[in-house]
Amino acid sequence: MAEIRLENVWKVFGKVVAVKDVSLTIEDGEFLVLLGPSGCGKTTTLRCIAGLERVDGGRIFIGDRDVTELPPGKRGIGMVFQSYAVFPHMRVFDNIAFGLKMQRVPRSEIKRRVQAAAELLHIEDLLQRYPAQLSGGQRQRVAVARAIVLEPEVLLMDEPLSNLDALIRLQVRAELKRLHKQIGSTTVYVTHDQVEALSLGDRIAVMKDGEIVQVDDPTTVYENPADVFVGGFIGNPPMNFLPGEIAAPKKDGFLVLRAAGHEIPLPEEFVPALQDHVGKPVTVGIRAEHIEVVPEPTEGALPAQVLVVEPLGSHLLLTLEVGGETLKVMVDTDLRVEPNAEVWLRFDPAKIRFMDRETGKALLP
Amino acid sequence: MTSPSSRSASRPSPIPPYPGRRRLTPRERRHRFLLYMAVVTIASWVLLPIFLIAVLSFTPREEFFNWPKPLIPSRFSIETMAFFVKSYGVLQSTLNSVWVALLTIGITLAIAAPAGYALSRFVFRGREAFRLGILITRMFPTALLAVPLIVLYYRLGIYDSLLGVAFIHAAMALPFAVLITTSVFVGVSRELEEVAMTLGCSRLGAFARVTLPLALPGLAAAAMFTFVISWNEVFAATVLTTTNRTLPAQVLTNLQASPPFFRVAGGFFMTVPALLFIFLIRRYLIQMWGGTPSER
Repeated sequence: MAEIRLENVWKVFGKVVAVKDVSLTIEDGEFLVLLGPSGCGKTTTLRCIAGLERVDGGRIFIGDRDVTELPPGKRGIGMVFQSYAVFPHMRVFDNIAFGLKMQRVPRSEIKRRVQAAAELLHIEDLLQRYPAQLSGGQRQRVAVARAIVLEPEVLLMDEPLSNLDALIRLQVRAELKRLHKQIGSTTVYVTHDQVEALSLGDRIAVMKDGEIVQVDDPTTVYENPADVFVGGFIGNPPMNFLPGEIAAPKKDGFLVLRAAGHEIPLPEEFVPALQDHVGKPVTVGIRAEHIEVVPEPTEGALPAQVLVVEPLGSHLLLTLEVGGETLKVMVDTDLRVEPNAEVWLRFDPAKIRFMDRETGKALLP
Repeated sequence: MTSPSSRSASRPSPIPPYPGRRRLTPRERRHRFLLYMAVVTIASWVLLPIFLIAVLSFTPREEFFNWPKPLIPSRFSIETMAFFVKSYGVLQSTLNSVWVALLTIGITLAIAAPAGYALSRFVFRGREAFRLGILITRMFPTALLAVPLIVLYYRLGIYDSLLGVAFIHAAMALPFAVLITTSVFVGVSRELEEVAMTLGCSRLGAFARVTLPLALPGLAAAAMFTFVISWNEVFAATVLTTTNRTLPAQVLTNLQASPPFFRVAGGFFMTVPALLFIFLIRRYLIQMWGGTPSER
């Protein structure tokens, strides 16, 4: 097993900088998710690790080896593609055995290892079929089996679930997580789906415009986004953002947040970090589930108007307007609200996040 | 079809295991009928002349002008055919034609396959210019090029050689062949090669083990196309040779001055190798259009 280390990796296509000075260490046995919108460079980063793209700058290490100049086949990786890329002219058995045959593994051992890999993915009954006779989910399992049968130190997956139906996707997602626990390869997983990222990753690296914006465990990425982009990209619904201002109305050291013409007192632990920002404009970020809806005017609550009510089964999703801004709020289904009703919103002060209005960067670490 | 049965066909029912076996709605029946009509029409458009020419070339000479013609001649006669085949240079020129066609296929594929691969896989400077430029060989009528070509061929020492004819045929076939091979390689996903490379293949190994087997049907189509072009070509083969003539160059001028039964025999004789070749290559074509490897 091995850790993966990227040092100042660059990749440029013509005038487009796909990967911009990315440095990242992925620990041995870790499941790291590269997350970002399409075109952010996450797939290119993965392909650089795989050796399918030559880097234009920087080094890549797998374990102690500098693999920057090595071809894909010599890097000790296994890769799974979005399109499955199962060889259509070979039976499932030969697909899985392909890499072993390339390594000239003895035939009896090939048979044993293909069988083992197939059993791990529950496709042992399909070994004699051709890919054309398989469903999408089965094909992706073949692709995964083909990658892990070589017992690679590093497993790379490029949006492996995107081509699957929603139901199968949930199932295969859980299987991938179990599989990672079982084989323990260092795994890099590329996706644009934040739910996949949150559910699978030990850590998530969020990318934007070729750069890594934040690398943290899923809870931190969700709770403490590094900037407005991460907060808006992760979570469904995305984080709410409001323009506001930090103020110190009294001399007792307490701070308040001024937003939509009202003041919200802030908890003491925010004071050191926000002291320097008193009087400056900030962007306030708050998750939909950290806003409480109350029917009566309350101290420290903002008046809002209900625009849309969407029942989601387990919750109600409200779209509200506060001082010209639109907010999404998640509430319990027993709350009775009608569109156009006037309600009051109480933010959970501990869950409020502050970003610099200009740079969008989080003000709290 | 009567209305009750059509109603029963439209009733929601469990999905039948074989969609082709269930009863067809009148609409589907009509479509199927039209489809078969089209198939029969197109097939007879191709087959009828071949059939007629085949029958006529084995019809005894004295019955040739009989009218109405019987579908089957009263007597199977190889007399005309034998005379044609034994006439001067036919066998040798047939052999020449086969050689030229094979050489042409070899030269064409050796150029068209890499060219098509490059066009389908890589973005390079001048790619679009190359795509268009390859049509240049078809821009000038061969008649215009005849004299310069003859001079050039003399200087290169390939005048009146089979290889020389193969070169000009390859030049004629290349635009189409590159068109075909490009689309063939576009059809083989790049990710398949990349997977093979992550599994330990070199780029060349990935091409040989994955891309080539999958591209074979399409390459066969390109080969067939090339064969037909070479087999049919008369003008270049005539002006660029004096003794080593291909079959069309050898016989066409003579046949024009021959009685009709010789023309028919000659025509049939020239058709047969092309038919044989298509038959040999047929399974690759069927595979390419609608077959799966499992049906192999």
